[in-house]
Amino acid sequence: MIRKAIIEGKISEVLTIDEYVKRNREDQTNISVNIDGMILPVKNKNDDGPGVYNKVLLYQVVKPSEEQSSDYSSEKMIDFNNTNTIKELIEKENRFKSMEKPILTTVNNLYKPIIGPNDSPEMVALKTALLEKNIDLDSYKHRFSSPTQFNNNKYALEEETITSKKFKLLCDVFDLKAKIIIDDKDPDVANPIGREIIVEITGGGEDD
Amino acid sequence: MDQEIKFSDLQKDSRIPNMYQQNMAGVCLEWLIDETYIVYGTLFLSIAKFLSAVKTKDHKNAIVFEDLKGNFKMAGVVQHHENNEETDDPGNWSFIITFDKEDVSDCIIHKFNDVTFYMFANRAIFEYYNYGFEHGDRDVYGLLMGAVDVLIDWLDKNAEINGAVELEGFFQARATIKDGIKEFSVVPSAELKRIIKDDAKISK
Repeated sequence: MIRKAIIEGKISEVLTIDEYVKRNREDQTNISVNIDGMILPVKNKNDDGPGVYNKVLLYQVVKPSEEQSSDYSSEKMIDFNNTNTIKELIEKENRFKSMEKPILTTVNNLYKPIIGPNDSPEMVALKTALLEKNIDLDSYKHRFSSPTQFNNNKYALEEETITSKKFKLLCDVFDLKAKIIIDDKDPDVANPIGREIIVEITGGGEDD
Repeated sequence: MDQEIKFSDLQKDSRIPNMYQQNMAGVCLEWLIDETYIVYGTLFLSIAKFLSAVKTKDHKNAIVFEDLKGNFKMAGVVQHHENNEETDDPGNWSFIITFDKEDVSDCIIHKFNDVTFYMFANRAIFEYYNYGFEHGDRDVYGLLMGAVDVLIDWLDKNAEINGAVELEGFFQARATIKDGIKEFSVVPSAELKRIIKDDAKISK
């Protein structure tokens, strides 16, 4: 069930009312509910404005004013469920990427990872890439499966080493392409390969 | 001449909301006291909407509230009354709330803990208050049955002082003692009777 929309400057997963009431209450971040043609973000009691507010055993729906209504229209939602052809899927993905771009390029808090002397080469490469992207890490939060996953991976970037699995995951999340190159140590070694073997580990495939 | 009855306002008077909160705490559920009137409004609105949908001219229909042991607590009853005179008058619908099981003995019975009634409750709370049940159908039984229990409890505790409470636009409830016996009555509002009326006159 994938429906996405940008509401109040954040990318959120859009649920039906039925999905919302059946959902695990622990994770309410970046969730919106499609109600009567409006996409309303799930908010907590300290928030204000249009949204869905938890009232213990009830929830309250605060609808947008007439002037605000276009900002919360369900027309802003991209529904990946109702996709019949690959072409349609690609079009939707492109539409989503163009919606997402302004959010990813908005930098409120520039991320500056510290590259330490004991960092592994993979970690140095990843941190350097992130440093040169000049990004706000929080802008990518929605790309993780949950806020907990986001926090866990944020902490992982403070470590000196990284597993291959996490390295690939983070490259994908941050739109980075990573490759492994295997070559002869020296042209004079016994049994040389005689060429570079280049494998893209993020997108898959082999590039000679 | 009847003495004027002073109804306390359920939305402003905290006694029923306090009792409701205690009732919820009794089943280990947290409750925001200020939302209590919403549950009562939803209860009576969904009774009216449900009865309006199921009513038939040839049978009395009742929506019955029972506890988990099957003990009768309260019911909403709708009945059509034919016009005996030879006029074009289509007749009347009566809509009553009763605490007497005898009043539903000749009715088609609809149980309130049926998913169909929950559907009406879900729709009523959203359409009228812009609220919803946070856990869907799961809590509808407890919230609405709790409202019935607390209303009965309040009427019982206040019968000696001829207690009366109302939720404007929904109902007025009274308790009295007659010949040593406590009597409770709930009168649905004109607005709710209008929902029942639909295609005939409002019952008087």
